Amino acid sequence: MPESNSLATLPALGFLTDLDESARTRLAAAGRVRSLPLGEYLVTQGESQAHHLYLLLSGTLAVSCHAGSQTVELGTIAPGETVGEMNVIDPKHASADVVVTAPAVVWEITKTAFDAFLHEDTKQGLLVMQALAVMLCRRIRKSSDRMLHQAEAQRAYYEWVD
Amino acid sequence: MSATTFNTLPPVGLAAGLADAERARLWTFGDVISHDRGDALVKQGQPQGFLHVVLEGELRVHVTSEEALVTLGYVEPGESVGEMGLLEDVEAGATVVANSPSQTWAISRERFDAFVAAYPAVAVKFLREIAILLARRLRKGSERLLDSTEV
Repeated sequence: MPESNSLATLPALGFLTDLDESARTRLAAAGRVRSLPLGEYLVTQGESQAHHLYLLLSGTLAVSCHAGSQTVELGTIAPGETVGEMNVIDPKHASADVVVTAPAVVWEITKTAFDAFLHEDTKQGLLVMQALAVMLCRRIRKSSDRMLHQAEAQRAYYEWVD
Repeated sequence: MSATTFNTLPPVGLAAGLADAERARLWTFGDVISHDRGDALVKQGQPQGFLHVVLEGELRVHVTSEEALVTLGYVEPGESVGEMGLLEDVEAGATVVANSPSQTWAISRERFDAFVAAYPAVAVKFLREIAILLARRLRKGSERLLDSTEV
């Protein structure tokens, strides 16, 4: 069973970078810290029971999604990056698997606790929302680039086959 | 045909979750712009500094490469383009032209920042709607990526 405990405060990492210390301390108390061994699944594609936002504090995670026998590696998550931000903003079934590839420590918060934080401190909540939206923008751009490359590769392949 | 006069953001799309008074406040930070058919609102590869919400008419989104022009879709009243430009310095990934005489409500990144500073509580709600839209777009992108790998 993974250990769990709380942290006095959270480091100014990732989407917390612009938050003041008291906000990070309140967030730390509203969530909990978990240590995850190699190979453990943090998120399983298709699951919908828990809506959590995770911040990776140390270790590495790998993200992939599958359909039938096909698996697509979507990338890796490094410390300071988050998992589940879409899930707390717009709850749906998890769209990918997230697995531990180097022993990891994550901080997690439930959607309910996250919403309460946004609600009770407008200024800090705004900074969090802005940071999450910017992160989504970057992911969209990465995914569009990827699709473009794939389309180009496919076209090159068909031209070659012709 | 004379264009309709608008004096607040319609309660749909990104503004659906805002109260009447909140939409009226946000409205004053942007401007209504009229576009003739064929006018380009956004040009692929150029800095994208405005969010446009369509009030009337229809926009067409397309990308051009060396060989082809590909239409990605159409934007109808209540829908928007350029959300990412409010958050970051980005180059437009596509061109957006008016497909019929259109009116949009447009807000620049600078004016949006002023709105955020003036009305942070409303801005959180609006940003949340933007984030939801972006999350849905990202999910659709991943699904498409998965589809395209199935041979």
